[in-house]
Amino acid sequence: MTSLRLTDFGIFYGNQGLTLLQPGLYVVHGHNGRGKTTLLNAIRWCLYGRYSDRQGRVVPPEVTLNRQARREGRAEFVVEVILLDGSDEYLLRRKQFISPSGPAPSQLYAERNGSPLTSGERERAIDQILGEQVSQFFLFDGEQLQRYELLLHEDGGSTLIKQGIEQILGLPIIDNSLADLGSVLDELNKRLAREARATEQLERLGVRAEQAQADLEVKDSEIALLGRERTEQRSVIAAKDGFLQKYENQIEQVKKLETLDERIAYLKQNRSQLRGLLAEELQETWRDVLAAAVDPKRKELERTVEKAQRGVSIGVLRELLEQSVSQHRCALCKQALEADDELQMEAEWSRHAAGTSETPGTGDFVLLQLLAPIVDTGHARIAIGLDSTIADSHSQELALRQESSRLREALENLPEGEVSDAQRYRDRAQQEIGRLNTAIEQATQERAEIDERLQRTRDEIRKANANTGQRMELARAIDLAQNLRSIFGVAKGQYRDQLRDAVEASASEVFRSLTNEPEFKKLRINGSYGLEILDAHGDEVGGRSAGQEQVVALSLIAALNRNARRRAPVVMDTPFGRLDPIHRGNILRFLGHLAEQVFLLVHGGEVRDEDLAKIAGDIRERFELARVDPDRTTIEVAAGG
Amino acid sequence: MTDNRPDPIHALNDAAKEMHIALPKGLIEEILELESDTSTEHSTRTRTVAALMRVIETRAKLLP
Repeated sequence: MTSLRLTDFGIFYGNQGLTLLQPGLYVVHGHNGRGKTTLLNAIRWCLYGRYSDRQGRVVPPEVTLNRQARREGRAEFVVEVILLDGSDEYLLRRKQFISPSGPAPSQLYAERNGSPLTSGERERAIDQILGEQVSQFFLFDGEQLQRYELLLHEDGGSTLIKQGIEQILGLPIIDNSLADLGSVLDELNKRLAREARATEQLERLGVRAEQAQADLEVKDSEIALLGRERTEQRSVIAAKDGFLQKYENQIEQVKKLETLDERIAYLKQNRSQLRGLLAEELQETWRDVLAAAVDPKRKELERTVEKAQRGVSIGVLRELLEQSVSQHRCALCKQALEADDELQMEAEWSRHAAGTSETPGTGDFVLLQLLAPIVDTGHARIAIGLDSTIADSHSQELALRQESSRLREALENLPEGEVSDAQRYRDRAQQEIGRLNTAIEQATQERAEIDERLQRTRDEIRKANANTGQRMELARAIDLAQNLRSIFGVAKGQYRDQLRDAVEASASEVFRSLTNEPEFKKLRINGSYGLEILDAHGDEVGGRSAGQEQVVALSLIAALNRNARRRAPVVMDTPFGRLDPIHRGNILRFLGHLAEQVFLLVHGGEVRDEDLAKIAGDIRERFELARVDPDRTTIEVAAGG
Repeated sequence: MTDNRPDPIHALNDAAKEMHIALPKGLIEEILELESDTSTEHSTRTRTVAALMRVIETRAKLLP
């Protein structure tokens, strides 16, 4: 770490910080409440965006903002750290704005060698430089060193601490490799399974292609056979056509003769029906013949009967008038007659009485009734028409028979049976060709479908065959991945044992230089990286004091820093709280060898100036946290620092 | 401060020798370089697995 700058972070009002020359031991001195722990927390917050109090509770941003700054209306605090990692320089700057409605998420800006990093790159860079899980071994509070005592109890030990230790030692590189090789093998085996399915599919495709090829050959034979049959039938037609052509005219006349015969037969049948109708009409024709002769007599009779009927009517009227005049009352309605009426009736009666009366004979009526059915009904005219039609039919038939006889004489030399057979065979051959054409068309369509299926199958076979080379490479990749996983699996245990041995050796070496008890010879590491103190006889020392625990914890931290895969600054806050002067002196002398860069945050009660004077050669620089007021501390370079 | 930290490459080469498995030269170093990003972030792990797959496939092609 080459720079740490804070703006309104905690007790640190305004913008201030530390500029550092690495490597070496740096001492930050300050009384309680002046901001030693705040410096440690500022580094944690800048890296991880959060920090906790000694009870493990995450401290909210609004509490972190400097109180004086808040009173002056400022609402933002910032921490900036510059770190060197090998040849790369990283700048990390985290800002927190607190609006009236509450704090927004903090914002981290990072750059590597002057180039800004993306969000993902920022997270990875921090994880690489000093991951949060391993930070407890670099940025630690001396008051909490007793946590490492948990490691002594393998069953109840803190898993997180153990994981952190293994991470700092670099064991995850093997664990991750093993897990990733497992993932790679899973994927390769999936591909192998797919390839196996592809092989099975290839076999199925081969069978399908063979079947399609056989179907195609069968269909070709079928089409060829149908084609030959059609050719034969065409030959039949050609032969019959050649034969029939010789009798072409006669055949036409035969057809004409057949038409004539059909016509004659029709006329005969029609005439028979006409004769039936004529017979029916003739039954009524006599009326029409007699009607002309009877008509003069009928008219005479009708006149006579009419006259007689009128005479009867006048007689009845005269009787009624006579009766009414004599009785002075109407003979019909029985009403009394007025004088005028009677006079009028008398005059009327006198007029009729003077006329002659004629009585019709009974014979006239009978004769008239007998003559009534004898009238002209038109049947005679219909009968005459039918008779005329029948006569025409006879004439037509006669003409047709003459034509027929002429044709028959002309066709006497025609081989009628042969011609008829030839025509029948030709027609049959024509029908057969029609059937064959349909069959050939259908077979050709089926052949095209089979051919299309065969082509598709061949394409699939070509694609499947193209993967043969890939299958061999896949098999080699699986072998290689399996070998690697076996090697990493075996190496993991061995590497962990080597790391434990190395940590145990380093911790023992540090412990011997720190402890005030010469009888304590070494530390023994357990499966959880817990350290037991062994005496000169190799026996475990039980009942360890709080000070001894702190020394063991510092030994473990020193051993981990020595064996860590990566180097990082160590920031120790108040590490001497439980230690006696001998231990304190031993540790102070050791601090320069703990890591390449060490920050010691202490107060006057822990470490006195004369203690620091004894290690003045190891101290690169001293800083003093000076009180301005209860809300403000300034960082000052100490005199003689 | 002397650097006598155990080296995973040595542990892996020893294991390969012990198991009589011959690996392509530099393969272990290549894998460890890939796996040096120990982030547990899902996307990082996915990326590393994909890179590891490529390394193994490439090396497998060159095998006799």
